[in-house]
Amino acid sequence: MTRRRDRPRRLGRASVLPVTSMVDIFTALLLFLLALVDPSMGAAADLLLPDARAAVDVTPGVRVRLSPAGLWVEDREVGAVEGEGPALRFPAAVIDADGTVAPLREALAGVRAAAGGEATPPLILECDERVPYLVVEQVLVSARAAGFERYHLVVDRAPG
Amino acid sequence: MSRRGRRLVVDARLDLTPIMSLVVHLIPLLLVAVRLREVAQLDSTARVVPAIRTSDGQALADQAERVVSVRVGADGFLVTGAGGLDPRIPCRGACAPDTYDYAALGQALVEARRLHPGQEELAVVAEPEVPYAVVVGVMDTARGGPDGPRFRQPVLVSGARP
Repeated sequence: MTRRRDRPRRLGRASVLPVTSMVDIFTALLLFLLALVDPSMGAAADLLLPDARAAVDVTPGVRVRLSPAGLWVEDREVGAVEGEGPALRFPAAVIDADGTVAPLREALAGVRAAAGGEATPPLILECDERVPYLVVEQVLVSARAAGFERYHLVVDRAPG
Repeated sequence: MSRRGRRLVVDARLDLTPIMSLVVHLIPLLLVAVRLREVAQLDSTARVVPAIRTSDGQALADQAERVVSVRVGADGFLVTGAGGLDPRIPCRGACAPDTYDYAALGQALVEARRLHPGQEELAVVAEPEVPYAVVVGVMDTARGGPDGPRFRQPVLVSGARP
């Protein structure tokens, strides 16, 4: 006769996996990935970048973003645009006689002055693919008037 | 016997498994999104040059002798410096950013490069209404392709209007 105390004893505890530390790790990983994806570099919702194959990695510089929603220098809005599609233009009031966009030229000159005596960094232009070339040209002429001579055009790297 | 001393025991552990599952699915989704949108850059310089008009035949001929250029218009491309090739490259159908004939432009630039072996610059002149995407497409085509080297330094020329 088997006595009760000789039978295998069952533990009353539930076998729950302790996942709290794993959740901590995954949350930290998620935040790390979100930080890696810089939303201000070409991923703005209102900005459609053109595609290009013969492109190189993005280098540091002074960022200018031009989209149908407006014009920014280093995340600071410096101007608005009017119209849509091929009729998109800067307001006539901000265009000087030499064809430069006054608020942009002044903002870029300020950035350059803030850099002191260091070499002028390149201008990194993030421009929407729908913007007419006249507006792009006005941005480039303004940048040149502010002392910028090298330009990098930000694109989406096309496969192949 | 009194029942006041009884306490209801509740398992208060939070079930984190669905949250963890969500996070685990979110990570590959983010990785895929990052991979799909890879941002890069094209290098360029820009110059302001005096206006050159296409109606001035001699000026255009002189320019073609010195520099290879692509004019981007509302009806297609006009390439100078490509020898005997037809300089006009019309769009394939109604002109839109994806109907400009970049393949024909590439062939013209290969020929231009053959005729101007020491030249690295390509002048790009665009009409005001041309979408920026087309200008970038020209610069991308200028930089090279499977049929050989072309022009490594496309220059955006402003102030010159066809």
